[in-house]
Order: sequence, then structure tokens, then C-alpha cells
Amino acid sequence: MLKQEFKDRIEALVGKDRCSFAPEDLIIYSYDANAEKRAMPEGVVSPETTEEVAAILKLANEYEVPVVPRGGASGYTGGVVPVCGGMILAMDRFNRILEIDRDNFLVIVEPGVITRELQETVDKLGLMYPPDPASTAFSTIGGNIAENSGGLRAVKYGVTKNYVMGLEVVLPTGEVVRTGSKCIKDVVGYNLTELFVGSEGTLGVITKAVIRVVPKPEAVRTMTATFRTLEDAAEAVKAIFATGVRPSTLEFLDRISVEVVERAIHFGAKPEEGALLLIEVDGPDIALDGDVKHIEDACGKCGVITFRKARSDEEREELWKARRALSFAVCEISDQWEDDDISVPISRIPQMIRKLDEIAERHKIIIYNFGHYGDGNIHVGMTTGKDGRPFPMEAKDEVVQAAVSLEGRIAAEHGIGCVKVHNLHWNIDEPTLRMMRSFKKLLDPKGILNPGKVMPKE
Amino acid sequence: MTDEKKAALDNLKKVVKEELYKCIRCGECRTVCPVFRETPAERYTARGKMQIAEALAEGRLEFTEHVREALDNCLLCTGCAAQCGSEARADRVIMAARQAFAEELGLPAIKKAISFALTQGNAALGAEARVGALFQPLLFRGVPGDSGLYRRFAMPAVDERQYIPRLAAVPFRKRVKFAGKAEWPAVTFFTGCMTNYAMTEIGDSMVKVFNALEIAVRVPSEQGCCGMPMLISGDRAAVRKAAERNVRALAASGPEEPIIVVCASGGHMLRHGYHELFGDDPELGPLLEGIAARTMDVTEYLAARVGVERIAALVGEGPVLAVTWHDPCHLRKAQKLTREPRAVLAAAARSPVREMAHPEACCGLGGTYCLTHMDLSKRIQTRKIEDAAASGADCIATACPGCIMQLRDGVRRGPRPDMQVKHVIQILAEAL
Ligand SMILES: Cc1cc2nc3c(=O)[nH]c(=O)nc-3n(C[C@H](O)[C@H](O)[C@H](O)COP(=O)(O)OP(=O)(O)OC[C@H]3O[C@@H](n4cnc5c(N)ncnc54)[C@H](O)[C@@H]3O)c2cc1C
Ligand code: SF4
Ligand code: SF4
Repeated sequence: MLKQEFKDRIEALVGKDRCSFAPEDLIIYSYDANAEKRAMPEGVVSPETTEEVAAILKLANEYEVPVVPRGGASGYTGGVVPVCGGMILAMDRFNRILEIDRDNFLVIVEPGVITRELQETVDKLGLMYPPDPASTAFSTIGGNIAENSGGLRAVKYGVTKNYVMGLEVVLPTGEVVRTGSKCIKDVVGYNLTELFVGSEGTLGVITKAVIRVVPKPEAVRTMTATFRTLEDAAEAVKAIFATGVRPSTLEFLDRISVEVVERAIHFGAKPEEGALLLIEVDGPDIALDGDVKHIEDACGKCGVITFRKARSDEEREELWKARRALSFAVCEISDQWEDDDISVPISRIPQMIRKLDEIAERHKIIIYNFGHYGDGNIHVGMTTGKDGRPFPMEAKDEVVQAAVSLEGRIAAEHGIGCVKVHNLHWNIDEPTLRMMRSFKKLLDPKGILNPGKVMPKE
Repeated sequence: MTDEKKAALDNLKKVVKEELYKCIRCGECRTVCPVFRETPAERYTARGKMQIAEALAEGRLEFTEHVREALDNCLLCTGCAAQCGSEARADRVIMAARQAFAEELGLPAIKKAISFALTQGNAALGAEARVGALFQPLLFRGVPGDSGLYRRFAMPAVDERQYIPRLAAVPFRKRVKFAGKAEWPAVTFFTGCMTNYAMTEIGDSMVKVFNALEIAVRVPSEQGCCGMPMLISGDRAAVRKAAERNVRALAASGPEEPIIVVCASGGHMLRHGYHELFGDDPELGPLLEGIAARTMDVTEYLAARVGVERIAALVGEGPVLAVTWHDPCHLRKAQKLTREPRAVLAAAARSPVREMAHPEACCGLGGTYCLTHMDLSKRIQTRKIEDAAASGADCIATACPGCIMQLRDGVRRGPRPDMQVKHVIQILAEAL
């Protein structure tokens, strides 16, 4: 229960309009895009300035009230779900792009800016902000940084952390720190920026970010290649990388995914096609024909069945269709899906898929896989089908452990949040966890900032 | 609990059940919401409103004025529903919740006041014109005798200068019953309130264009308000009355004759609104099918049935008009019409459309929203007008009299007060 005095002081700080303790407001700050996790906060406050954030955190320390920073609340792992109650810190009002520095290829933004808005703004200036999670249209830069979000272009361009040059962060105690700089080469002090990237709102509240952008590639070429097996596709990927060409997108669908999509949209898959790669290259127009040729040859050497190239925007859309259709096509098999987001070193993908097939066999479930081949990030969809059988939850753990056994990670891009904390030890050993805990303790002695996330409670 | 109360609550439960399971709470609807853009708070997003509605339906939340405020602060622009990848219809949920609120707490104070202002002093216009309709407060304040275009509203919460279309001396439907030759193919014209009472030039343009194409225009005089304004306030009984009356009036011209609308909201009601509300009404339900299938927006009819080439030929050579296009929410988002109106407009203007930034952004009218939330409405309007002015066009074309009113109001305060605002059919008629 929040003390009335605390509520009054919050209200005095930001005014009546920017805080609420009303029952309906507590309901609507109890969730994110995770299907299960929900918990009610005790209040919500919507700061507008770094100073306000600092003041709120100081108050929260004084009254020992948990504070949960919240961006677009599109997270999949309950990162913004206030599992210990307390205040939601809604960052929606930090929605300005403060500076665009074309000469230095950087942008200074507030964390509440929607990623798509940043992308569109720099695009007009011939620049590109490469990280493109599927939630680009509605997630915020702050959320992306706090989750170190990935995306389709990660294979060539990397993930969010590769584009964060510096941050302004309010520490849990209310102190404001600045990390990094505008300089590409900068070895001054510890690399604190990366400490906050991916910290899921547990180490500090991001209030400003210096973001790197790149020149916009002149053109994109899109193609698809199908193979008998995922092993063949894996060989093709190796062969593609060996040519020196680095695709900007390298997505795959496994056999079941191909079948499901074919049944739903009839994109022309043949029965023998058991794997599909969706490949894109980008860069100067004149260079791309050569790149495409390299890729076509590489696939040719590895038993490609069908190789398609888009010659127009419509054809590009056509090739993307199979990949995009997946999310609704799977509804035909079942309306109850469990999913997971794991990653393995890319050479291990075929092995991982074999293990997943074994798990499916063992538990008599259907598992389909798709994802970002180029960076080893597999999205695993699991179901018992339409027969109403409850899903065997052990299978889910087995999937994650299979990844761990192949030097993979239990979370690739959707964070740990509050849903994976109990599996953290599968990837993080005791001394490392202890170090993480002491960092947290140092920055947040009272444990008020987003408690219950990333690490299990002691 | 009264029967009405129970019915409204049951309806809310039903709609919540039909729509909420689709929502994965991704928040994509936030990014297109004009209200959220101005006042970023989850309670004004479709995602938040749906969760509130669910809590109300499940009895986890009480019906209070504070909760109602969240549901009322919405333009019902349907932008959220159009954007949603899972096709969750927040607008349906919000309307069902408003109906439940109207039964639980009565009509909202401000809407009651508007309604009161209406019934007082305007009795002369007859009950028919007073069904609590959308623009009546504006229309009736502008009755002849007043001179300029600006009026001060002597109404609660309405204290800004607002453009008011003048009321026509004779309503359109009083003048026109059937225009054209009996042997021509005919269309049935659903005028909507604004065209009937104020912007009668839209109706005249419609007649001119269709007659030039040798199509007769039938105007059933029994038709009335589409019911959207009552729906916005949550007055279901009044909507049903309006629906029944229109359905009967429009059915008279047979099961084949196209029903043409020049008002995006009216089209949305005839095509979807009635069906969603009264589809399983034993009496009204069976009558609705035919109506929805026959209804077409005027631009859709001209593009799909007449053909843009024929329109262009009809227009012929002549002066070029620099036009930009505003997508009415209920045309683009609710009826998915974007190419057709642009094609017709380009032919009428003899020039490609100069697209403004965000042509799809709401104008901020939202039925009575412009009165109940004047501040926010004006802020949304200002963005629209700035985008329109930056397009370099001399005329904003659109296909909804409500939008026209709102845009004319905004233009006069914006960077290009000389810009014209017209219905596309009017531009076409003037080009003939
Ligand atoms: C349909 C869909 C597709 C998705 N696709 C992808 C994908 O392809 N790749 C991917 O990586 N993710 C994806 N996600 C997950 C999610 O969108 C990302 O994790 C995203 O970065 C979350 O951003 P947000 O603004 O919604 O953050 P929120 O969900 O609001 O918050 C996420 C975390 O960040 C913290 N946080 C937010 N703002 C701040 C701040 N200013 N300071 C400190 N901490 C903060 C929160 O406390 C929380 O722990 C997807 C989600 C959905 C619903
Ligand atoms: S209504 Fe649609 S867009 Fe909005 S949160 Fe739900 S699923 Fe996402
Ligand atoms: S209908 Fe329009 S104003 Fe209302 S919630 Fe949806 S997007 Fe926002």
C-alpha cells in the first residue's frame, strides 16, 4: 500500500494530470504483450524531464516503493509487469527527436520515441537506423535499448547495442549519469553504455540516447531459395558467407513452416521442399547484381530446388509473403501456441532443429521453427494441435536446454523479464550471477528499480 | 437492474468476448491514435480502453465518471482497428461500453446539455431534424438572421469561434425527389443530415454529375439521420429508430438499385454499423443484408461502375486545380477506400493529387468530440491543416461533410486561409 503522503508528494511533483492512482489506470498498466503475466501497480506517473525522473526515484527510495520504467509495453517477457507492485514510470512523454547530426551520422533521441518514427525521420535524410525488430512500428527506442532488441537485419547490421553510442541515465538512487560520447573511438573509462543496454530497466532509467545511424543503402535485392532439407540450406548459408557477400536478411522456414504456409496461401512450394531461405542483399545498385549471382551460385552448389529473384517491388512483396504469412497460417493447426526465443551459434542450427524434431516426437507435439538464420536466432512454435490435450510444459524446458547444450542462449532478443528468471542459471554460472547481483546492489541499494526482473530474487 | 441496463451490459459482455481475445496487447494501435498523440496516456489508447471495457464487463471495475472519461475521449476514427494486425475492433468495444455507461449513469452531462440546447428554441425545425443529430448544435446556431461565418456558441464548453455552415433555406430532400429521366438507370441517394440541411450544394453536385452520366437520382424523402451521432453518445434506442426508418425508406427502391452516399460516416453506418448493432435483431436483422450490399460511396461508384476514363472524358479540357486529398476516417479506415476517391479527384481536377503528409490523419471532428473535447480537437485539427497547407494545393478535397466543416474551420486559422475545402463531387460538378 502506498502511503498517502507519497502519493501527495508525487502529485505535487508532476501535477494531477500526469499521475494517477485510479483503479482503471492500475488495470491498464498491469500488462505487456506477454500472454500470461499480469500484476497490478499501485500508481502511475508520467514524467516529462530528466529532473522529474530523478525526483521520482529519490522519493521512491525514501518510501521504498518499486518503480517500473515502461516504454511501449510491447515486450514479450513481462519486463514492465509490476510483479512487486509500486509505481509505473510511463516514459511516453519523452517522445522527441532532439538532434539529427548528419555530418557525424548520429541522432540524439528521447527514449519514448517510437522506433519507426526515428527510422522514417532519418530515412528522409538519406540515412538508416538499421535495427528493425518486428515491433518497430510500436516499440520505443528506450524499450529497444533496455531489451537490446534484434531484428531481421541483424545478420549484416547487428543489434541495438551496436548503435548506442551514449546514454543519459537516471540511476535508481536519482543520480544522473552520462555514458559514452559522440566519438566513434572513445576509450575513456569503463564501457558503461553497454552495461545499461539490455539491462531491462533494472539498473537505471534511460532518459536520452546518442544513436548511430548509417548511410541508407541505395538498393535492395530479394530472393528465396528452397532445399530438400535444412542441412542443405545450412550448407548453402556456409557457401554464401564464403563468397564474402553478407546478406542483410537471411531468414529461414523449416519443413513444417513451409507446409503450413503452403496450405494457407499456396505460394507454390513443392512437396519435396523442406526448407526455405529468404535472402536480401543491400548496397550500391551496381554491386548487387554480382552479389545476387554469388548467392545463386552458392545455392546451386548445395542442391537448391527453386531459386526466385524479385524484379520489382511487387515481386519482393510476393517473396516476403511466405515469411509474413507464417504467423496467421499456424492458426490453422492450432489456436494455442507456446513459443520460445532462443539462439545458437549459426553452425549449430541444423543440429538444433534435429533436437527439436526429437522433442516433438517424444512428446507427440508439433514444433515449427523459423527465424533469423543469419544470426542463429530461432523462434520455436510448439503445440499439441487441435486435440485439446494440455501442452506438456517439460517440452518447453527441453527446447531451451537443447539450445544450452549447443552453446546457445535461453533468450535471444526478447529479454528475460520476469518469465525466464528461473532459468537464468542455465546460461549464467554462480560467480557471474554474484557479480551481476553486486552491480545491481551497488546501483540500487534498496532494490526499487524494476525488482523481480532479469535475476531471481535472492 | 432495469431491462435496458441488463441488455446494455450483456451487449458489452458479448462484444468484449468477440473482440478481446484477438488483442495481443502489442500496442500498435497507440501509434495511430490521434488522441494518444496529443495526450500520451494508456487510458486513451485502444489497447487501454479495451482492457477497461473488459474489466467493466467482468465487474472488476465500477462505472464511474472518471472511467467514462477515458472511453469518451475518443474520436471513433477507427484508426486503431484499421491498424491492428489481429483485426481487433476497439471501436466496437468502446461504443458498447458507452451504451452501458448511458444506461448506468445516464447520458454524459455535456451531451445532455447539447441535447437540451437543441430541444430549446429550435422547435420550429420539427422533431425530425432534432434527433440529437451530430451537427445540429452547429447548424441551428447558424440559422439565417446571423451574418458572418463565425458564431459564438452560447453553449456549455463551447466557447471558441467555430465555422458554422449556414442552414439552407430549403432542405435538399424537400426540393429534390427524383432527378433525371425515367428511362435512365437510377441510383438511390442517401443524403445524410449535413447535405440535406446545410451543404445542399453537395446534393446538387451529385445530381448534376449523375444526370450528365445519364443516371437518374432517386431521393427517398422518408430517410433521415444515419444515427452515428446517437451511437457516439451511446444512445442505442435512438440509433435503432434511425436505422429502422432508413432501412425501410431505402428498401423501397428494390433489391438491386445502388445506394449512393456522399458522407463517409453515413456509408460506414449503412455498410457496417447497422449490421453490427442489429444484425441479430429479429425484426431489423433480415432487412439489413440488402442495404449493406447495395451501399457504395459516391467515389467508389464513379470509379468502379462508371470508370475513371469516362469521368475524365466527361470533364474534358479546362483549367487545372491544385488539389490535395484528406482521407475521411470512415472512408479510409472503415471502408478501405483510398484509390477510388483519388482517381476520381485527379480526373475532376485534371491533375494528379498533391499528397499531403499524413493524408490519413483524423481531422479532429469525431462527431460531437469537437464540442466535448474542444482543446484536443483543435490540436488535432491544427496538425491536419498544417500538413494540408504544406502540400502546395489550393483546395482540400474530401468526401465527408463533417470533415469539410472541420477543415473549413481550421483553414481560416491556419497558414493558408485562402485554401478552399470541397467535396470531391462538387469539384467534379464544377468541372463539367
Ligand atoms: C508483435 C511483436 C513482435 C516483436 N518482435 C520483436 C523482434 O523482432 N525483435 C525483438 O527484439 N523484440 C521483438 N518484440 C519484443 C518487444 O517489442 C521488444 O522487446 C521492444 O524492444 C520493447 O520495447 P517497448 O518500448 O515496448 O518496451 P517495454 O515493453 O515497455 O519495456 C521493455 C523493457 O524495457 C524497460 N524500459 C522501457 N523503457 C525504458 C527506459 N526509458 N529506461 C529504462 N528501461 C526501460 C522496461 O522496464 C522493460 O523491462 C516483439 C513484440 C511484439 C508484440
Ligand atoms: S488492439 Fe490490436 S494493435 Fe492494439 S494492442 Fe490489441 S492487438 Fe495490438
Ligand atoms: S477510434 Fe481513433 S481516437 Fe478512438 S482509440 Fe481508436 S485511434 Fe484512438
